[in-house]
Amino acid sequence: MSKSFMSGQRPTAHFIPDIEAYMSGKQTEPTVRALEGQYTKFRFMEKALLQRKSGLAGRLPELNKALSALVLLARAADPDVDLVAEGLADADMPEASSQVTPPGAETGHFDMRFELAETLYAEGRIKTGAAFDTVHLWIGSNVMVAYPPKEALGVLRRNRDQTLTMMDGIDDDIAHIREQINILQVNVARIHNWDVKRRAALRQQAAK
Amino acid sequence: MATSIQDFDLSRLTLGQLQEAQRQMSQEINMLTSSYSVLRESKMRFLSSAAALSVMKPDNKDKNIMLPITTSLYVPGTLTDVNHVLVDVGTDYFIKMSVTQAASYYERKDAMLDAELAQLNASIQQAQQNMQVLVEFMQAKAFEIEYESRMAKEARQAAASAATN
Repeated sequence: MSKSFMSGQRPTAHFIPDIEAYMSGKQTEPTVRALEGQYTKFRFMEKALLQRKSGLAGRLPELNKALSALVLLARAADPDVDLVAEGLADADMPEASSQVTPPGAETGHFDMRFELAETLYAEGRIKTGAAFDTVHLWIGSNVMVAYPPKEALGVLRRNRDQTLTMMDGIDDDIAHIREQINILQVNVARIHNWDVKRRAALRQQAAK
Repeated sequence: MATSIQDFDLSRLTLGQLQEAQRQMSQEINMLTSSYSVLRESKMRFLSSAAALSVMKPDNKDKNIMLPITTSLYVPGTLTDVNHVLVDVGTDYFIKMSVTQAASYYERKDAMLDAELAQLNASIQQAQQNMQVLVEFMQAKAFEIEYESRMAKEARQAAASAATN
């Protein structure tokens, strides 16, 4: 449960094994209402978690895009580096290994198009080799940090892995919450059935 | 898009049918308003792209700048060609244009969107007018029903008291 995204202990709903014993001395309606109140709370938690998860998922495409660009840039800065061997890139990225010559290795620069504004691209030139030693990462909340290309790659990879772990944790939490919701629904249904039976018995008694 | 409601004889519809029509109409209004705001947003985006063209001038050639590789990754570099840009014209087509061509492209886009926005606005107003007429009709209908039932009740009461006398 260490993966859990929720701080502290996860709230749990308890299954009621013996309705008869549970309901003794209790009135049906307020009991059901209390259980339904819990149900609403769990539903709310589920919704909050789903929202949180979709927020994280929305960050992934940009992270992955920046990562694959950084792999190329780190190689351009240092053609001899093998990012796969150093664990900074996944093995399925051929351009990350030192077997592949990075762009601009001969000329000392490479040209590329970048997005100037939406739907608008312009041509730019980046110096390669030792002349290219910093990239800037937009960390958020108006902060930009300069890193050597390889370090930036490490930072972004950690960032992405953290995001993925958090999403896993949230998935766990959602599964847990859904189970609690089921338990609560079953509790309410069983109390209801018990009450129907009880009323029927009372009616029969009255008829005698 | 929206036809005038005066073309229909509303008085022949029942209250339930009127309610159904009202529901449909409010759906239509919602749809029109949301596409209006989508169009407005894309107009804003084109405008900011057109504004970004202003940096493409000879002065800025070979100046050291930060190139945006993605929205969160910037690297030092230079602009190599300040006379041309690549424009994403949609459906995966990109066209290399001169800066002046691109400016006129965005101007045309803007004018086109303005025309569409104006047309949509007219449709929305028409639909809202229709809605108002419909609501008035519904109120009249409800009043009529109430009035008739009251008259019927009074008639019954009058008949009853006449019988007892």
